[in-house]
Order: sequence, then C-alpha cells, then structure tokens
Amino acid sequence: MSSPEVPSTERVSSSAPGRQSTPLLRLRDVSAEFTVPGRAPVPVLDGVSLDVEAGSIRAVVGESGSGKSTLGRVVTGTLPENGRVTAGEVVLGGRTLTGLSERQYRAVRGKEIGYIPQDALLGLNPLLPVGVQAAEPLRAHGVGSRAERRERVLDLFAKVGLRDPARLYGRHPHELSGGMCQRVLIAAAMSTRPRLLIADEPTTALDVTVQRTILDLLSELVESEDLGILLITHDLGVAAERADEIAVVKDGRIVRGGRTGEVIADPGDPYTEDLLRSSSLGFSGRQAAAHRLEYARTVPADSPVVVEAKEVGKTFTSRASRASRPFRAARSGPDTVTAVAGASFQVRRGTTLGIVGESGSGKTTLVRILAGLTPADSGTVEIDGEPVVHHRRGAGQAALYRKVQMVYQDPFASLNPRSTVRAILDEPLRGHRYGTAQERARRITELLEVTGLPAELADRYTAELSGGQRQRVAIARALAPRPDVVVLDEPVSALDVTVQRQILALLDSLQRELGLTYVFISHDLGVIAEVSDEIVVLQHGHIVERGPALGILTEPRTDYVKELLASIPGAAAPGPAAEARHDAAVLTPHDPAVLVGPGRSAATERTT
Amino acid sequence: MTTLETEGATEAGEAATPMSPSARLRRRVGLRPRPPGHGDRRRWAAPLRSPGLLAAYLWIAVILLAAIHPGLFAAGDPLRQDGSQILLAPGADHLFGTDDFGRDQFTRAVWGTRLSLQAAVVAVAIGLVSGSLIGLVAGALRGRADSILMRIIDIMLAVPSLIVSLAIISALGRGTLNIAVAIGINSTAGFARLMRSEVLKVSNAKYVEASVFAGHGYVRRLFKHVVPNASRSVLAAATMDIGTAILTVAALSFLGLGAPPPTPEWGLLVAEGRTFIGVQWWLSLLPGLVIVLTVLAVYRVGRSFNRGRTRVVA
Amino acid sequence: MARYGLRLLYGVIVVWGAFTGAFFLLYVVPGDAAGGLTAGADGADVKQLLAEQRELLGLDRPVWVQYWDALTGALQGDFGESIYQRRPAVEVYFESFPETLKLAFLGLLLAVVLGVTLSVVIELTNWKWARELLISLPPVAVSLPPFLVGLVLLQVFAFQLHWIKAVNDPSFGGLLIASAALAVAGGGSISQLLTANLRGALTSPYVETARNWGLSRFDVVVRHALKNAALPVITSLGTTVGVMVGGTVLTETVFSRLGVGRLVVDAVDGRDMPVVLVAVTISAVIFVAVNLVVDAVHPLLDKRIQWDG
Repeated sequence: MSSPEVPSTERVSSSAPGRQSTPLLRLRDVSAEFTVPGRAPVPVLDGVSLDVEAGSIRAVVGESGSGKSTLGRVVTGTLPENGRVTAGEVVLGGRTLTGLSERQYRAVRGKEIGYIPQDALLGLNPLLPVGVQAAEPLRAHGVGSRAERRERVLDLFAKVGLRDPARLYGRHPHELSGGMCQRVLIAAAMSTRPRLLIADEPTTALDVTVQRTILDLLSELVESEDLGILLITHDLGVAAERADEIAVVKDGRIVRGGRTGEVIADPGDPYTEDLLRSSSLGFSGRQAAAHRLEYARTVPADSPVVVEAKEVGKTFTSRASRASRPFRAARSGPDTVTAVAGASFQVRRGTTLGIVGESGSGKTTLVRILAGLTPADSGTVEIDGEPVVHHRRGAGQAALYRKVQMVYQDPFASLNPRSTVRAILDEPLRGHRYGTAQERARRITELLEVTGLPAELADRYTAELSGGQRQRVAIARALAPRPDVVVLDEPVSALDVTVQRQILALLDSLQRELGLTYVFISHDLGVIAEVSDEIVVLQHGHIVERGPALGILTEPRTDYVKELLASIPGAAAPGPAAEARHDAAVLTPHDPAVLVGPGRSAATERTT
Repeated sequence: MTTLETEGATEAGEAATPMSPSARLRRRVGLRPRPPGHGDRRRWAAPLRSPGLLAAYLWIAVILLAAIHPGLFAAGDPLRQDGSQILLAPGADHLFGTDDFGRDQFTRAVWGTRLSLQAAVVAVAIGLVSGSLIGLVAGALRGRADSILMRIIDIMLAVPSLIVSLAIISALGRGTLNIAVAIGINSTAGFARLMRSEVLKVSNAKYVEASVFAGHGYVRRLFKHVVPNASRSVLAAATMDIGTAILTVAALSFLGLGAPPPTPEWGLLVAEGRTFIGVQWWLSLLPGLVIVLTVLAVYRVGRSFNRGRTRVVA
Repeated sequence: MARYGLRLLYGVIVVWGAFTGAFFLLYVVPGDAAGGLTAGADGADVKQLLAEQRELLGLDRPVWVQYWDALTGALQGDFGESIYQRRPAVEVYFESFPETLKLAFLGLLLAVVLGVTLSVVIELTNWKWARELLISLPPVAVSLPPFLVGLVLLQVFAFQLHWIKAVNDPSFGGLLIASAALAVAGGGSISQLLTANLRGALTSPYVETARNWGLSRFDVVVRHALKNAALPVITSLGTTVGVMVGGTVLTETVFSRLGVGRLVVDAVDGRDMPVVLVAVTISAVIFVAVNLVVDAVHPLLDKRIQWDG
C-alpha cells in the first residue's frame, strides 16, 4: 500500500491469504429503521452483511440516501434517537456490539473503534485548541496523566505528518487548513490505538491534491498498525484505488460486494455498472480529450471570439483565505490577497473553456468578473465585443444578461424556495421582454422539454424537487433568454455521481443543438477534461497553464498540473474506460489533425 | 446528526411511495418522485399532531371570542356593584370570586379581554410596520443610510423600554391605547434590527444574486425575492411579540398608567386585587393566570411558525 | 485596538442620543413641572403663579438654550436640581441607586445561574417525561408577568410563611426574594435561548466527533457544546440587563422597595426633568458599558473573532 500507482488488484491478492479466519468486524444481516412521527417506520438498512479484515480497507460505496452513513453509525452505536437496529448483529473482534448499553458502548467508542468525520473543519470544536482535542479520546478512556497525554499527542502529530507539533498543539482549528485538521482528527482517532477505523467520507471536503495525501496516510496506517478501515465514500474511484474490498449499497442493501478487482472487472449489477461508468475510474485525459475533439471538429476553426479577457486582475483587502495562509497571526492588520492576477484568455463561439483550480485559486472570482458580478481592479472583459462593466445592484445590465447567463453550483441555494418552477422560468422571460404571456408560456413548456423535465413539474415548488431536477431548472432558467454564453460555476459538484453524468450529458447535447458557448468552472479535472475544448489551470490566482485540452491533459508542462492529474481518484486503477485507450493512443498532441479546430491559435499561448 | 436526519427524511419520502416501474425509471434518470406531505395540507395538519399546539390554538380561539363577544361567557355587567357580595371566594356563582365592591371578578376578566388584546395587537402592528420599513430601507440601501439608521436604532435600544414607555405615556396621557402606542414605538427598534438582518441574510442568498440574470431592476428583485423570504421570520417574531406586548400592557396598567380604575382590564384587575393579596389572593392571581395562559398560547403558536429559528423573548 | 476606540466613540454617541431624545421627548410633553407645582392653586392668579414658577425654573427660555444648558451641565455631572426635592438630581438619583443595583445584580446573577443550570440539566436528563417537563419550564417562565411572580412570592413568603416583611424588607432574605421575582423572566429567556443553541450545537459535526471519541454525555454537553452555545447568550446579555432595569420598576412596586424604578415613575409623572434625564443617561451608560465589556470579552472566548478582524 505504499503508493497509489500500484493497482489495487495486486494488493488484494498479496495481502488477502491467511487472514480469512476471523474478521475484525463482522456485520450479519443488519437491518435498521428510522421512526418518523405519524408515519410507518422507514427501513434504512435491510439485511446488510459485511466483514472488515484487520490490515485491510473495506469501502462502502453509495450515493446520498443509500444508507451508507447509517451503516457507519450502526457500528459506532451512534444512531440518532429515532433510529434503531431491528435485526442482525455487529461483532467486533469476537465481541457482540449490538445490544450493548450506552455506558458499555462508550468504552468501545474511541477506544477500539476510531472515527474520522466528513468535514474536517467542522469536525473539530472551534473553541478548543487542536492539541487538547486530539487528547480527548485518551482523556475519555482515562489513559495516562495530562502530561503523558500531551506527549502522546505530540508523537502522533509528528506521525500523521504534521510539522512542528509543539507549536500546533495550542492552535485553534480555524488557524489550520482543511488537510491539517483532517490529520489532527486522524491523530485523535489513532491515539487510543484502535483496531478499527470508521472513516465517513474522510476526504470529500478536501482539495484533490490534499485528498490524495490523506488517503496515502490512511493506507500507511493500515500497513503499519494492522488497522482495519471501514471507508464510507460516494466515490467509486477512491474506493477502487484504496480498498481491498468493496460493498456497493443502494436503498439500504448491498447490491454488489467482493474483492475490489473482481467488482471492477465484473460489476454484474446494473447499478454498480452505472456507478462505475460515472466514476473517474481508469480516467484517461487523452481519451476524454479525444472524445471531445470529435465534437470540436464540427465547430468552424474561424468561429468568432465571444469572450475575451485581457490581463484581468483583482485583489481583496484583509481576510486572508484559510487555504492560502493557514498561519496568519491573530493580531496582524489588514492584508491584501491577490484573487486573480493578469488573467487573459479567449473563448470562441460554440466551444467550451474549462477553468480548473483548487479552493482559493481564484476561479470563482474570475468567473464573477466575467459575469459582471464583481468589478475587476485591472484589465478588461469583452463579451461579443462589448465591455463588461460592473454595476452595484446590477442596474443597466439587462443587455449583458441577454447574452450571458449563469448556472450556479448548488441548485438548492440558487433557486428561490418560495417560487414555482414556472415563476422561476417566467422571470427572465419577462425581464428580457420575451413576447406575450402566451408566447412565454409556450417557451416555458419548450424549456422544460429541452432540459428533460416533465411538463407537470411547472407548477411545483422547487423545495419539492430533487437535486438533479433543480439543476435542470437552473439550466432551463439560464437558457430562457437564448443567451450566447453560459457560465457554469461547478454545475455538477453538488450532485450524486450518476446524476452528474446526466447533467453533463444534458449540457453536452444543449451545446450541440443550440451552439452555446460555455465557460465551465470546476475543481475536478476529470470533469473539465471531459467537457472542455480549451483549459485554463489556476493556482493562487495565477494561470499556470492554458491551452487546448488534449495538450494539457497528455503533456502537462508544470508539476502542479501533473499532480492534479495524478490526484484524480481512480485514475491509476484500471477501469471500463481503459480498453478504449488504444483508440485514443493514435492521437498525439503534435498530430496536425488534432489541432485543426478552435484550439489552434491558442496552442502557442500556453504559458510557463 | 443533521445529515442523518435528512437522509432518513428523503428515504422516508421515497419509501412511502409505492414504486411503480415508471417511478423507478424516473429515479434512475435523476428524477425523484414528489416527496409526500410537503404541501399546505401538512402545515395545517401540524397543530393536530401536537397536543400542546392544539391547546394553544383552542385557547386563543376562546380568548378571541371573549374579546369579540364577551356576553357569550359572562352575561352580567362588569361594572355592577353588589354591596351584599363583597370579597367572596371563588365558587359556582362567582368563578373568580368578587372584589371589594362586590363586582364579579370573572365577568370583569372576560370583559377586560378586548381592551388588553386590542392594545397588544395595535402595539405590535405599529412596531411591525414602522420597524420593518426602517429595517428594509437600511438593509436595502446599505452604506451610509444604513449606518445612520442603525445608530438611531442603537440609541432607541440603549434606553430601557419601560422608561421610554413612561415618557411617551406622560406625553400622550394615560389610557390603554396610549400604552399601545408607547409599546409600539418601543418595539420598533427590535423589528428594524430583525428586518435588516434578515434582508442582509436573504440578499446574500445565491438565488437573489442569480435573479440579476433575469434582467429585472433592483427594486423588483428586492420585492420579489428578498422581502417575501425576509418577512417570514419577522412575522413569526411579530406573533411572539403579541405575547410580549400583552405582558407589557398588563405591566403598565399594573403601574396605573392605563385605563382608570373602574374599567375592566387584565393588568388593572391584578393591581386592584393586590391590596388583598394576603387573604383574598385569588383576586389578583386568577386574572393573572388568564394573562399567563394567553401569553403561553401566543408564544407556542409563534414558536411553531418559527420552526428551526431561535429568538430571545425578553 | 483602533476598532475598540471606534466602539467607544459609538458608545458616547449612543449616550448623547439617549440624553437628547429624552430631553426633547419630555419637552414636547404638554405641561411642565411648573404646572405640577401649581396644581394646588386656584383662582385668577394661577396664570401669574405659573409664569413666575416658569421663570424661576428657567422654563421660559428658548428650547435650544435650555438644551444647551442641560447638556453642558450634564457633561460636568450637573443635571440641575430636582424640582420637587430641591436638591441636585444626581444626588436624588444616586440615593436610591444602590438599592436598585443590588436588586438588579442579584437578579441577573440568579437568572444566569438558574438559566444555565436548567438548560444543562435538560440535556443531561434521560428520563423522557422528566425531560419534557423541564423543557416546558423556560417558555412558562417568560410568559409569567413579573408583577404576578412578585405577588405570588409575596403571598407565599410574606403572608403564608412570614419569612419576610410585606413592605420594604431590608434584610438579605427580602432582597433575595425580590430578586428571585426579577430573575424568573430573565432566567427563562436565557434558558430558552441557551437550550435552543445547545440543541443546535449538539447536532453539529464536532459534537458527533466528540461522541465518537467515547466522551460521556456530560463531557459532550459541558465541555464541547456548552461554550459554543453560550456565546450568543453572552452577546445578548446587554439586552437582558436593559430588561432587568425595566423589571426593577415592577419588582420595587410589588415589594414596596424604594429604588430608582419608583423614583423614575414618579419623576416622569411629575415631569421632574432633571431626575428623568439622570435616569435615562445612567441607563444608557450602563447599556453601553455592558456591551463594551461583552465586546471585549467575546474575542477571549472565541479566538475566531479576532482572526476575522
């Protein structure tokens, strides 16, 4: 388990034999339900059986609402008051946990079972120093004196890769980056030397490059401490890359379980297959870009430039971002942070520009400048030859927004919860003076149809819709005034993977049919690779690479982009896409055929 | 626990609907069936499920009825004196006993409802309207107008409300409606603050920013998106404030700043009975109980409007 | 520190605003102290008597002159003479001030102790029906009119148990019972806010983490959730103090104690402007001071505040 490049199949075969006798954790036919007042109890888990072997990782993969988190809670005995285990048993190292009293369970929790929460920054008490918190499990189980606990925590801090433990001990969580917080939590979980670790989406809230280092750390701990990990994740890529065994859950049942290699090679279940196709498993930048090139060929090479940014820059005063300055002194005065510096690029009609960057890279600021929501300090943005000017409160921007529309990341936040779908779609139509009431009604029907929403949804409130449906409504709203350019700000990152896939497919077909120009922002290079004709990579507000997608994905020139590519979960593992790689292999970035397309002129612009 | 509860909730929604093949298909393509029980029907059914809330609604209904039509509960004249029946203990004839003039205390409590309630509602209406307007203007304009308005609000909050009320009442003269005006002016600051913070909060919501792309002007966006969403918790607070206003009206009446003595009014009834607290304690405490129950009921209903939010009731 | 200086400046503006507001509010009030003083006179010379009194009190001068005099005087600690008692208003006020301060301080202390204890006990109670019962207490407490609570306590402790005197009991017991009457509403409102915040804090991810570390319920509630939940309560203490000051008027009336509350009611009634101005100004100063203290303490409890600048 030394490096992520080793395909997981090999690890399984080498570590598995000899360990089958008694698993560390065994779940047998576990069922659980939630009681909702005034309704029949809702089953959440239904006859789940799985094992976790010592010295191995068992991944539980599922989408939101699948019951995967409940599975973790059944093991730690922390179901909420309205939840209960109705059948089956949980056995940890020969001891049955189901049916233990709260007091007895408390002796197990944190002692024999370690726990790593999802969001590291929220998972730590904001008012206590991290060192004190990391020692809490020891304190709770009465291990050692105060000084001894401190010693142990300092040791552990060093072990989980935190530099300068003594200085870190007294820091508060807000002074640490997300990755550091997650390391503190791992140190806390490991402090009592548990045999089992429950990791509930341990890296979901982290940047991909950080995610990789955290997963590396967990893999190392499995090796060195003979630890068993129950890894709960929504990402089959992460699971396939790290786990020895996988269990895919859907609606509270395990639909497919087994050795990672076997599951990947032969899903044997339609849902697992679906997940597999939606994951970035076996990701190949070349293949993704080549696929995209087929589309790009249909766009004329001399397609006009619709979006042009020249030397755009923006700095903010004070309030440094957490990611860029984890150790900002508490009392230091106002400070300036460069959000974007000297960003220049062009987007041709009918193509997609992908902007990729981690948190704090300035991609959001750049996009807001593009849409006239934030003023730039320097440089200009032109859309269709017209300069974009910022107006406080958006006065006089109607002309701009007839051409530019935006789709936000979180469809739960970007739609007014008190509006019906019809009202939401009608608003831009009225605002941009689109015909009579009848014409507008017809247009609304049309928009629903185009975005794959059933017509009867028009009179629903957005609160009643699922995430995928809401994002379709948001896309329909953006299309309403027939814009040229659609700015997509992380349009799929709040959605389940299978839904992501559908939304990406929808965006793709809309672009083909309507000849739309997209500016697509994402933290996920896997997604960007798939949708972009050209890519801009941002880091700390600077463009580190820029150019045609295929070039960047296959021959990255900077270490940063190489690291980003390597961090795509599951990229190293073989996946369903792997066979197709051969087809793409014939294409090289230097092949003249490839560069016929909108990207040609930009190819020479690649910076650094 | 939050995530788990929502998880349970969505699953509840899905499990409760029988899965037809087409529904299964729709889910596969990312379309979820409509979560049941989300419509207005559920909101109206809510009181029935919680006995406390139901009792609160019933009590408020009774009190409203008493305010509109006091004769329904007590047919007698609240001012009729009877020298032969002075300071009687509560009994079948006189539920709350009689006072030192032989007046039936229950009849007086019933007939006092209208005045007390009227004053509370007028007070809240004044505070709600003026406060929301100030808060809306401050939150919408921001900048200098905001900071000036908020400094004024700070000043209003800096002086204990009772002292302000006293000053206003001595300006307007005694009387229950004047008390209402004083309380209304006093509560303006609180409503202004709440409205402003709600407006700022809602203005930061992504859906408000997203509405700029629809090409409408600022004022239209403000009234379409910000005001309806911001006023929700302001209205819930206003409901709670009716309870607080009932308490304050009673307190000021108790201090003798409300209607003159023979008038039946809740606070005044408590004040009048005060002389006899040592022996005929019921004269003060039973009308006081009516006040307590009414305020409790109003708070309970207000809290049910305000689910998930917190607010100090001072 | 510069930020704190700005807060101080705001505080001064607030006090000045309260003073000015009270001055003009009482100025527009029809009738003035001269009217009150001549209330007993009758016949033809009322008008003349009134004019004489007005001149004597300086009430015939233009309003701006009167305001300027009052303001400059106040800055030097001179609010003029109480019209009825014929001695400096400040003196009159501070005579009854300690009584009220004792009452309000003890009331606040009781409110905080009772409110916090109740909230913590609610969270630690496993017994379902006992918990339901405890949860219903804070809403009831805030629904009780303070004067009614006072009357009940008076009835029980003075008339039934004879522990205290019904009228102005000078002993500590009397003070304690009076401040208990004051503390019920304050404690209820503190507990209501704290219980809601605790509930929120107990569902947050860091509490989930703490629970998974094997911490006991007590440790989870007191060590991890309570401090986070208490922060908003501390911020709201400024308001609570204002409520306390108002509450003392009622409590002092019920228990017939001579304090600032009664003094102010009488002063407003008789339009004894200097005394009212002192009361308003001191109340505003207390409000500002409490909020400044809260502002200063807050960053010590929550390191993030400083960090955000």
